[in-house]
Amino acid sequence: MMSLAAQKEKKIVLRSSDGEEFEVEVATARQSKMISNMINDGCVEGSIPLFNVDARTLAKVIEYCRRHAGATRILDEYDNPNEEIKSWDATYIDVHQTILYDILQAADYLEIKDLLDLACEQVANIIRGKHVEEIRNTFNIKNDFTVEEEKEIRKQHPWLFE
Amino acid sequence: MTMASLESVSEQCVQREVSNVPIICGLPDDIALLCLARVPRRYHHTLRCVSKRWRDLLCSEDWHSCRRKNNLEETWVYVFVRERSRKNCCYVLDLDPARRCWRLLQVIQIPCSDKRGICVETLGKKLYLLGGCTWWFRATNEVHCYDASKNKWEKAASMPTARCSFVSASLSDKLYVTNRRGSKPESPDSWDIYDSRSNNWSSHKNPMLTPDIVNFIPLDGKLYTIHMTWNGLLFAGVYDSSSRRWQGTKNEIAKCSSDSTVVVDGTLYMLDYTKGTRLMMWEKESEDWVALGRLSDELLWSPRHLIAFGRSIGVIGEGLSTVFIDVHKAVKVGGMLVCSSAGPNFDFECDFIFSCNTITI
Repeated sequence: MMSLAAQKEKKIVLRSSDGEEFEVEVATARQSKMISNMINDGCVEGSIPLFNVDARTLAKVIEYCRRHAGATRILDEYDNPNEEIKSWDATYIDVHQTILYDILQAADYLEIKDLLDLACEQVANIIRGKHVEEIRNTFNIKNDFTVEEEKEIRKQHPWLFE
Repeated sequence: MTMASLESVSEQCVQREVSNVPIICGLPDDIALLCLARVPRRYHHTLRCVSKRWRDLLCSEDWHSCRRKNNLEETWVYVFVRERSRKNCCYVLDLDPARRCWRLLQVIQIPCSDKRGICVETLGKKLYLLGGCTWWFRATNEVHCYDASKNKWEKAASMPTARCSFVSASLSDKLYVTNRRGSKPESPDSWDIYDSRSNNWSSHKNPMLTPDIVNFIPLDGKLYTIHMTWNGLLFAGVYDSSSRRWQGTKNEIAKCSSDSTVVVDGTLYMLDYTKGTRLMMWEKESEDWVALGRLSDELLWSPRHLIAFGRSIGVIGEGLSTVFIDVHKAVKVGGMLVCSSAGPNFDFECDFIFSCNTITI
């Protein structure tokens, strides 16, 4: 069993799908449940290949893990993350849609629950308050309703706040 | 092959086609579902209008279980009112937790808007409006069904018997109806049972001795029946739907002969008006009612409706004035009721509220 200090100093190397290597602290790597399990099982000799995550996304994900590992979860009295980290998260996730999709898939693959939640919430925020046509444009969705179907579905018991 | 089954086959084909389309281009469906499920319920109708894929997703079991697993479910209250114009309609409300008030989301026009004596029951994400009669007193066997996950009225099979002002209950995929004590003698006292999975009614002989039922209480997968004798005495029975047998039970439960009952987390509660207004809890072990506390009479005017709202009971009175009682706290503290109240944030004028139901999505 390694001493705590030695474990702190120890670094882990993550290799992206396009071959780039990233050296990260154990605490940062442990933000990922998948990697954390690998560390526990003792299978982190050399570098960990991550076939599903490219370098650009991995760099972005590591930025998140580093910030959250460093924050040592300062919680307020209601067990919510404090304001500082909330506003950091908001700036962090305010990215282009394609990067957001990459983060979502990486967070799902690496099992980083907080990041997955954050990214999902961001997609939901993009949708919230938008009109049907705006949503279709944002997500490049084809309207496959016929004119009659669309009329029918829209006139059903309209909502008062629309 | 009948017309209906042909239609359902072609519908299945269309569905298969639609489900091949990704929910969001560039994302696996399970992640896209996680994202969309986070959109608050008030925007769901907008989502339904985006595409067929999204419309189908929003009434799928995947959608409901994803919302449930991630604690994203929201409860809305469906209040059925008879307006001054003598028309029925349904107000859809959600609770604004910050301001503690009811927000009006929607006014649903209902198909049987001129009838009275309608029973309203909830099964899953659907509301069923059963029977009722028009002003010239002709009862109907019609059943109208509103599917909240589609925001749409659907046809449901008609009851075998026309009924008005009767007794109804919903219990595990089924609806139960029978005549209330004192109904007109010409209507038969049969029990009609509706299976929502097959959209079929079956009519059964009254399993009890006498047609004196005043209330149904669905509890623990069984249907308790509350009866009143000719001289006003209350007694109770229990109906086992699997064996279709009815038998007498301890009569204490029969104190809840009024409509003000609700089941929260498998426990039955009622409002008792005999000594002021008290909230009572049914204790299964001792088979008796325990008083949890008293409600202020000034706060609420009868008639009152009870709804299960998360871990709380909502007592809805006239003008939608509502008191919420956290039942878990009420049990711990005892004597005093831990309450919060809410009212509508809009002009609410109606003759009377005839039913309050909740649907959680």
